[in-house]
Amino acid sequence: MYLMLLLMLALLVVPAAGAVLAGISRPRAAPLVAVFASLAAAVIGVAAVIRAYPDGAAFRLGDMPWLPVQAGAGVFGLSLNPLSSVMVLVITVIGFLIVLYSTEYLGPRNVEHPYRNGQQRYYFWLMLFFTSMVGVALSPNLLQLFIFWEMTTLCSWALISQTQEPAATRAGFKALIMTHIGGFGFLVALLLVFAGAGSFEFAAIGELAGGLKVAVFVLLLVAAWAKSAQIPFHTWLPDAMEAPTPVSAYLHAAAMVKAGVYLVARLVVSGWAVPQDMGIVIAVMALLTMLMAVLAYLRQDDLKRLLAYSTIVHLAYVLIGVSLGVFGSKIGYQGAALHILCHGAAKGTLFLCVGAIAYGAGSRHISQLSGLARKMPLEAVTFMVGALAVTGIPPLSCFWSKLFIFVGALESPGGVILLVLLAAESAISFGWLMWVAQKVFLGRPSQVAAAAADPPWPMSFALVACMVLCVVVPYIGLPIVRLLVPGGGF
Amino acid sequence: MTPVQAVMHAVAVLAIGAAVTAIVSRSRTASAYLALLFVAVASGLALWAGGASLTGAESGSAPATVAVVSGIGASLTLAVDRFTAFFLLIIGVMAFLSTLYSTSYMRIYQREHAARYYPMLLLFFAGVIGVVSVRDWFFFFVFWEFMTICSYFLVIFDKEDPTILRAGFKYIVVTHVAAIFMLIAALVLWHTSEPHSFSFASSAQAMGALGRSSPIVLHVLLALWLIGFATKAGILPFGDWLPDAYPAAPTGATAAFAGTMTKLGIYGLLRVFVDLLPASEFSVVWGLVIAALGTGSIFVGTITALSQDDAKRLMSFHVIGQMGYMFLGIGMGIYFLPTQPTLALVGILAGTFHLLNHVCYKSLLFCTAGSLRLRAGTQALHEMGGLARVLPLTAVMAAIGSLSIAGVPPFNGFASKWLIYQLSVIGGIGFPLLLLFGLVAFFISLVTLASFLKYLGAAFFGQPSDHVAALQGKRNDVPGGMQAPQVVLGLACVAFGLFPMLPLTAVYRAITPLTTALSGTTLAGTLGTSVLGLTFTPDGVAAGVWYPLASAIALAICVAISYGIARMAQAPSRVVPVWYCGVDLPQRLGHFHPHGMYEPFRRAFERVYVKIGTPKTAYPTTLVKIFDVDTWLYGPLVKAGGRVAERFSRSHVGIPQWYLVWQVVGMVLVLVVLFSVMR
Amino acid sequence: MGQVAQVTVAQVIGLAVLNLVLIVGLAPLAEGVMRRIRAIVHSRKGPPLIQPYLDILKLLGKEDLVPEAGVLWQIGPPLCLGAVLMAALLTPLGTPPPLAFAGDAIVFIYFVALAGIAIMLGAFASGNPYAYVGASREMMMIFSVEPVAAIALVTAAVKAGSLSFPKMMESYAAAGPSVSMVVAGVAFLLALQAQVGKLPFDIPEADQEIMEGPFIERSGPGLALFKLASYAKMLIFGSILVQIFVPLPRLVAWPVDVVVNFALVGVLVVVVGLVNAVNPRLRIDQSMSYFSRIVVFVAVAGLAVASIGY
Repeated sequence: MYLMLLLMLALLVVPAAGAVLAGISRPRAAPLVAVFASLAAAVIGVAAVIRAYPDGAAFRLGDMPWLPVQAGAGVFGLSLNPLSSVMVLVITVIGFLIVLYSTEYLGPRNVEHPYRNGQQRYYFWLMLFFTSMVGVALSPNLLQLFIFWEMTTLCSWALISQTQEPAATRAGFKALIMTHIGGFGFLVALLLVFAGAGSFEFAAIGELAGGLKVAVFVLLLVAAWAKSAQIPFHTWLPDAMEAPTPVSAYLHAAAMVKAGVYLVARLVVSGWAVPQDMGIVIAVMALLTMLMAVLAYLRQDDLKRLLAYSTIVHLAYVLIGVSLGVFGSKIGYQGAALHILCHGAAKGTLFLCVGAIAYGAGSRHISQLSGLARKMPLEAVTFMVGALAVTGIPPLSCFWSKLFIFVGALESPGGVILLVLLAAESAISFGWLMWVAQKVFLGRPSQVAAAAADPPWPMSFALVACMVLCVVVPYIGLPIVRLLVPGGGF
Repeated sequence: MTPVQAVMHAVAVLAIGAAVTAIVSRSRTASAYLALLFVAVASGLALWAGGASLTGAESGSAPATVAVVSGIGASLTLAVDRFTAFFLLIIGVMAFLSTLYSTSYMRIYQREHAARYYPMLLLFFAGVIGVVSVRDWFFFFVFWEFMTICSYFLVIFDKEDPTILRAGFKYIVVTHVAAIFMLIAALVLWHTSEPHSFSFASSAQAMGALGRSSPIVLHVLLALWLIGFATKAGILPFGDWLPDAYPAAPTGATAAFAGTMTKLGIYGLLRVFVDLLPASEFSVVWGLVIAALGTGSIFVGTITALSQDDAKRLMSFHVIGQMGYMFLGIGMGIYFLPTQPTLALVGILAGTFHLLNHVCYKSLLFCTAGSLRLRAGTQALHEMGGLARVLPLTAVMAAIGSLSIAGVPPFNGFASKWLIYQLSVIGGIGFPLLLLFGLVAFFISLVTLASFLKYLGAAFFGQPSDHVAALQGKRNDVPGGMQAPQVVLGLACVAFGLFPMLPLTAVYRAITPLTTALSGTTLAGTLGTSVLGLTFTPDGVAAGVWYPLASAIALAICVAISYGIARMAQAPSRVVPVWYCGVDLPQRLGHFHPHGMYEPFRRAFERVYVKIGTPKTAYPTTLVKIFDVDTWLYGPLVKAGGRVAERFSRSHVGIPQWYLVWQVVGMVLVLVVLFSVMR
Repeated sequence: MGQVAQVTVAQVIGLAVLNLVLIVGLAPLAEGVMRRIRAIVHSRKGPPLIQPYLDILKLLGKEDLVPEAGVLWQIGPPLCLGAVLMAALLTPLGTPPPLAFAGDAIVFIYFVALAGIAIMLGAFASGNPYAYVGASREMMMIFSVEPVAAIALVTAAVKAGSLSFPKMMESYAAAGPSVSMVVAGVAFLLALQAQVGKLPFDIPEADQEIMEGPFIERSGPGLALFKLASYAKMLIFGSILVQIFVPLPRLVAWPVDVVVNFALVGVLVVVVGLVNAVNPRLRIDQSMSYFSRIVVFVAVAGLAVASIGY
């Protein structure tokens, strides 16, 4: 009992401490501090998830005396339930791999962009982000979630602008403003909930009157859309690719953007039934987003922007799965939750691979790269595995989550048409990613590729570990998501 | 050990073997021989499982459930019924032979790393064994896609050639889309079945239910499945990928594909249309569609093959043609399934027997093409010539293979084609369209003959071209590892041809348990009891006879008589130069370019093969512009906001007196508002 | 199924010997008759009727010249004549074919094709480009002609409900003449000229054009065997046409049937000889066009009529 509390507290405190320590230590020492802190956090996170299975754990930490919430509902607390477990796994394990990867990537040997300073603030913000994401996952109510939510926005701004070049600062500012506007919607929703129901609990939304409930839900949806780069707030994510690649992998593929869909998913399992109209709204917007992103990535030359649009598509997948849960399909919803985990692993692999290519060959442009497999065989293998994983080839990770969503689609009002649309997207993504993989890695080596080389062990280790996760993650995630029931409570 | 356990062990052995060969891949020879060892063990297990099940009791071995994915009704259930057993036998033999062939053949690829070949080959075999052993659509799809991905990596093994990369890309995209079609069909059946389950048994029930309640949906599902399996089998127009992908892969892998992967299209076809689909009017319709598709492929595939210059590409088009024969036979069989079980039996027997024969001669022919590549250094027919002196055993085997595929008696190709012709004539009495199919099949068997005589004539006979002149006709046949598969397959062609009743008995045992519609038929009642030949008796009346051993003996006697006549006068013989009508030509100018063969015929059929290009879709730029919210909404908003802020900032003039005025005005305003509110 | 039990080994061997002796023995005579007809048409005296026998005997004793580029040279002639003899063993000559228990119409067609294969392999074996051209043309003739023969035989099979020659003959004798069989017979007759390689269809061995094509390098015994095979084809196809497509009554004893058969075949020999004497040679594409546009339609018409029951 107390061990659980200790684990969850440590999960928050350790990365925070790591952030502070990294910020104040010498430039050479900052990476090491961050690696140890994130490793410890990863171990603690996995241990906590295992201990919390299958009943979950919730602790109330305190109140604010001047804020009259309903009796029984605290203001500050920690909660680890299946949905949070999924998020914690993604954040901590992939986070550790990202930090390890960064130790080499943000160094002077990076061919694309050598980094000579700024290590301390990088690791400070990275570990702070780690902490805030964990906070988002462990929050038991809307208020705490909002606090950590805004912290992640701040960290994202800082990390995108890491290089402090004009393009990067502009991109960081754009991301900040757009996600912050969503955050403003979140704030209004928060206030409305408190005014209407007297507490900040997720379940409290269910007690609101009809119109107010819908308004709150829509405002939270807007916040989620802004955070997860869905239509119409999708334009900040491709520009955010100015960030260093580990940041892109972590924030903008595995973790931060997942916070938005996590919020929506959390609302569906808060013990009250989301109205069916809202389900339709979520589904339609997600399908529109998919269409937009699919159209966009057929034109991309920059590998990172391609992956950014692909991330947008997969976040839309999660939202569709959540909407299936609103329509009553348990399997569809479970697929969505599983997709958070599986996509994190697969997209993480792809981004780290692209980073390795940039590190070793100095270019991210598809038109300049060809025949890389000769000099960078490890990247070729991991990219192939990542591409196959992300497009849903069995037995790799996203196959399972996508299949659950396909099955759920059949159980929904959308029926076969929705299934066919999703399957079409899967096929198009597959074709395009295989084309890119073949173009970049196979064939005769181009000039840029001829000078490339495999990166050193921290990056390679992270890559291989992510690739292994692509294979292994569904077996870990399945037992956890099986516990989720849309409309039920946790 | 039960057959199911043997299958599981085989898959495990192959997986371990893949890992081991990947680890030792620095040394080509080590990974080659280790791969051969693991494949030998796995093949032995598969052969044992297949043999035990095929010769055992009707009930076969019980299925074993390895894993269950709870909640969605999917379970990894393996079973080795007789139908699976038949395919396991084929897979076991072909896996071993193609790996044996590869151990010697792969020396052609000096720059490519063995790590991408042998592990992939072993994983491919594991996938193939998995596909035929599962009893659940979910895991069928898993193994199917896994097998496809492994085969893709084998196709693009020579990764620096852009033609090969294009071929591999087309292959993987087309087959993936076809697999998605099948997945959609499986999902719809899952949704229809009560309780929701992916197992074969519940899909059979669901199909029956759909057949009664909404037949159109069942038709759509059957179409989706047909497209999926026809794509894998190489039936046109879905099989357009085959002539590009097969020549691209290393020949050992091509032989493996020809022997195992394309056959899985037939496996799936029989599972869905004979095993799961109840014999009903659906069988009639779809049997006809399958037969028509088959005939189309027979015609287009073989005619296009006639114009090919690359040896492997020529053979790949023939794969399409021969798969067409199988579809024709099986289609006719399915057509007769509800109405005339005897004819149905013959049809499915013919198609499946043709599958077995095709494995023998097509893999043999691909092996000979690979042998030519090894010794002559080229795959193009016009660069060869006179190679029978250099590769005598290969030449003989190639001749056996060519005559077999052309369906010349007494080889095995003739036996299965004979069955198809018999069925089309006797079945065609009631339904004339089948007569047309049979006649097209006959005509095309002549074209097949022409095509392979061209292959033999261009590669093995005649004068050597410049390209191979350096070989100087010195005998240098391929290594034993490559000869052994050729000899084994050639002997199989001869054996199955001379004693067709033996393989037919095995095929009969394999297919009759699939459906109750065939339960009233017996092999003896349809094709006679003698092991020396076949007597086709559809209604108790002998409609056709074929006794290959007797005919072969008679032919031998006739040839001996002829030879006797020739040697009657004991004429002397003398070697002379080739006569060019009195002109003194150097030897190399006497080389006949195979492109000139059958030229008027080819010209008449020039436009038979319609090249299916990628459809040109216009990129929807207006839609993209709408989605680019930055340009038309956020950008202007931000600029507008900036302008507003700038205007406001102009009010900060920096003169303290103005600020005092603002303060006074503001205070007055506040007091006014307060007083009005408090009233 | 009971056929095997009914036919004893002695009967088979006896019939086989009869077939072979008759076909091999009478084939050069048929060729002699055709040569004499040609001479008459050309207002010459012409060689004696037994000239082909003398030619073959002389060739058997001549020196056999083997081209030095030759590969697998010796196979061609025995295989060709052997295949033709096999076809002869499957041919009814008024008596049931000796190998009727072992093969039906489809087997017959394929053994005839095997003879063509042997010619082609023999041509390839010579290494002479003229032989290749001849072999290519031989194949295209096979493309044109075999389908017609197949369609005609299938028509007979559809009427009889069986592909076996004795059954076809029995059924036709029992049912009497019919439109479809007449049409099929006409088609077979139209194809006969090309089957036996006489003008205007002697394209593969166009003497003046490609120097005997596949046989350019052949001499002595090899050439004798090829010639004998070619002569034998006339009798074989003639007998098939007469026995299957002409509604003959089965007379008292089998020798009479045999005599009647050869008499009718003799009529066919005269017809073929006349056509051979007055026609020039067609080009291969003209011949293919003739077969694919005209003769195939006749044959298919016969089959169509048969499938609707007439």
